Amino acid sequence: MSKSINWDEYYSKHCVRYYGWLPVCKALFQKKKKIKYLTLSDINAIDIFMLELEEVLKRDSNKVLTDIIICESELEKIQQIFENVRPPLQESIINGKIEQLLLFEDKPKYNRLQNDDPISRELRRTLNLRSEALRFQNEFPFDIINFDPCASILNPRKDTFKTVGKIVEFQRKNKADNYLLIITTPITKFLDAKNEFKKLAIDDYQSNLNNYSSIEEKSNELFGTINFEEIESSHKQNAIAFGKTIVAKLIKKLGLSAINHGIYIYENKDKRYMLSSVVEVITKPKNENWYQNEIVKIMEDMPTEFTYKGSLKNKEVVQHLQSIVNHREKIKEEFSK
Amino acid sequence: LCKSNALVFKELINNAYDASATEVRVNTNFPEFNFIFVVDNGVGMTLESFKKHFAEKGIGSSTKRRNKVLKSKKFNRPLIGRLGIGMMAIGQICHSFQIESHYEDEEGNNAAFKAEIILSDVDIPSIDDEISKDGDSGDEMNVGKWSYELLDFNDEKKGFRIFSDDVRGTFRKEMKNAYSEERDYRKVPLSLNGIKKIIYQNKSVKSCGPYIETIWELCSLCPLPYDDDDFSPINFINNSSIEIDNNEAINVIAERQRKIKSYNFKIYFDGIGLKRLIKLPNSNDVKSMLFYINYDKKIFNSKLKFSGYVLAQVSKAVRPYELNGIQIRIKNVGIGKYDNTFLNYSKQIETIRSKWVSGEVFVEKGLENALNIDRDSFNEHEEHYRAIQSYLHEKFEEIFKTINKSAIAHREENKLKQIRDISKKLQDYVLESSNGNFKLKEVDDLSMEDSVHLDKENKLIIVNNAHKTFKAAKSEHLYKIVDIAYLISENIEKNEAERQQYFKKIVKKAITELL
Repeated sequence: MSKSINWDEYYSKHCVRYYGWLPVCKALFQKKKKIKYLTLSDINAIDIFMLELEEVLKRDSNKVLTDIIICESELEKIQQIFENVRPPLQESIINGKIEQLLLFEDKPKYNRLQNDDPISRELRRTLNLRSEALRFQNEFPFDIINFDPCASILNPRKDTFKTVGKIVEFQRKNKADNYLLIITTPITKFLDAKNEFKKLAIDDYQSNLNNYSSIEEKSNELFGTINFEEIESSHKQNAIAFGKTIVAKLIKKLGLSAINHGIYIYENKDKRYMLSSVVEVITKPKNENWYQNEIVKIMEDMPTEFTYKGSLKNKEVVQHLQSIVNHREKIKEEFSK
Repeated sequence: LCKSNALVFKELINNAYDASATEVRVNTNFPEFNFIFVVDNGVGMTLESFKKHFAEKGIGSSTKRRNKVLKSKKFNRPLIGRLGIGMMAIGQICHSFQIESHYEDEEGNNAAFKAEIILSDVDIPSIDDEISKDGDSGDEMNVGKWSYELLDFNDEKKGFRIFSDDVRGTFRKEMKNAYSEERDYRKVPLSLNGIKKIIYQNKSVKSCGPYIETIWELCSLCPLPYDDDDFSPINFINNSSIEIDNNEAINVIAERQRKIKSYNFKIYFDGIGLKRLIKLPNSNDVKSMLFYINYDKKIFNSKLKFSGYVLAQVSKAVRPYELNGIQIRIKNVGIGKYDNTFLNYSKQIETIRSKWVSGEVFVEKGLENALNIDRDSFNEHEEHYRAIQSYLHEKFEEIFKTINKSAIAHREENKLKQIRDISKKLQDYVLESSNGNFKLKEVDDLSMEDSVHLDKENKLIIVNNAHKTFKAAKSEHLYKIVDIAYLISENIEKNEAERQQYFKKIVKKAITELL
């Protein structure tokens, strides 16, 4: 992601928030009445203030947003988040990379050392990470998880990819009820023929065609081919690969089911593409055919695309983002006294 | 080096002030306290300065001291730092830290670098060593390992930042343990208004926990203006309960406020904008007196100039306790806490009256050489310190004499008021207890034999205030009540048992309601 991005005016991304995330978050709030939110929000915290403005997230009697957790590893950004999201969030900011926090493996020896101040700097770092990791892991389960790491998820060997699995595992371990999983990733590298994930996606697609006749029929009907690489739209390839090879596969593996509420591809100022998917994870038993039905749905409807220039002309979205920024600044001013 | 956590932050904040920053932001990641982040928008530190005066030559080689620079580059601020130890203060709460500086070098070019300092146990010189060095020594000090790398200049980051995620366990424990109960930290208000409320609800800041105590100390010690509302001595002038000895005292406070505001310096601690908070007197029902302090002389050819005020509130202890005593400020920075020994003033220190006094002394010239290396205490043998001590002790002599007199008058006045109040209550009591049959009359009659007497004809219960039982008794009102109750119960038309019951009942009622 370009360093020069102005998040307060990033309208193509806001199209995804506004049309993609928000309606589904509101619907979940209607069902649950109380939402606990996990985000990797940037310093501008647009997602947080949008959900607060739209009354999905509530403040307590001291006007503090208590049901949110933000993971951030850069100290400077933590400072800015702390000062932007007023009144102070206190314990809501977890210091560390979400990948490290969730993949951290505890050892009995750490428990013995936790009250000491070891001379070894590395050990101190590990204990600090442990402390934050355990604090974070204790916060599970969440109702909405917004996993927007700014790094590509599309590499099975990388921690970011493994983290998605860990999130779902922690949710299950902590007996989460149905929840929303919003995942965002850059997709530009996916088009590279040498990309390992692309190979995996092709294999998965072939395996689906062999196992589910409905998927094979739909592939022929929609694309006139059963060869993944011959699907004309690269964005369509991305959507199918992401929805199927990452999300649906993972959820199926854990014995859960899912409803895919949309896959969105948006363009940034530097003409790079991002993919964002909104999935409702169903923790109770569902129709056994859910998997093939969802894949077919992705093939039929998705993705929805937002260009950078097009979004600038979308008055509804521009005004909505502006109202969020104004709301944030108003709160900030109110609580700076 | 630093006696409290606040003093560590104070040193870092003072560096930002000296670097002409208009704001400095300190973040402790409350309530986890697992990292420290201090960022300012000042002129930054040049790489040469870091290498030469910090990393290579070590503590005691500050540019500020060596070049005898007295004013900051902007805002004409009198420079605070002298020994170059400010940045090292963070070593007291961190094992290692990083710095990042974006600055304009001497030739006007933009530059930036970041450095990492991994501390070994810092070998701080003794006070004696420091004095003998006279600040010009290039002795190397072992502060641990350090490394740096050059960065691209970033205008948005112009200034200096110091941060650490390698915070000492002792610091974390101290700060966290105060809020160990489940979610107890939620009670800590993270706004200045909330902090003020909590502090002034308590007798002492200490009882508010180490976090609020740290904020209080910073408000008190850093070069900050007074708060604009009631929490400022500027409001002494609007308070009719304060007897002002000399209007110059008010002028000194107002001038100080004007000057500090002109320095254009803001401190944000975990997002809270800090101000100096002094709310005195504690209530308007006490009589207060404001005294003026002023001194301008040469001591052995070196100028010592200071002014200030002392407020005494008769007869109520200053709240919070931390405001009791005298705060000496050099270049707007508090040195140590409020000194409730009044610079070792032997005559008054053990009396209750010393608890009524709070004052500030603003040193404009001199006294700096009396500062110990911790910059938080004085070498009490230094000539300027001796002079300020001697002047203040003389002043305290006069102040305490005045408040003694005022206290005696105040006590007498209170006693008379109390007697009037109790007499009124006794009147009502007699009327009510005798079912409206008798009224109370108080007399002072040495010849009268009884302490109380019933005048049936005039329907009066006469209480002789001059009677020996009342004069000798500490609780004269209690004695009166018992005597009156006895007289009333003896004169109601009931049998003995009923009379006794009635006596008990009205005594009980009187004690509950009157005393």
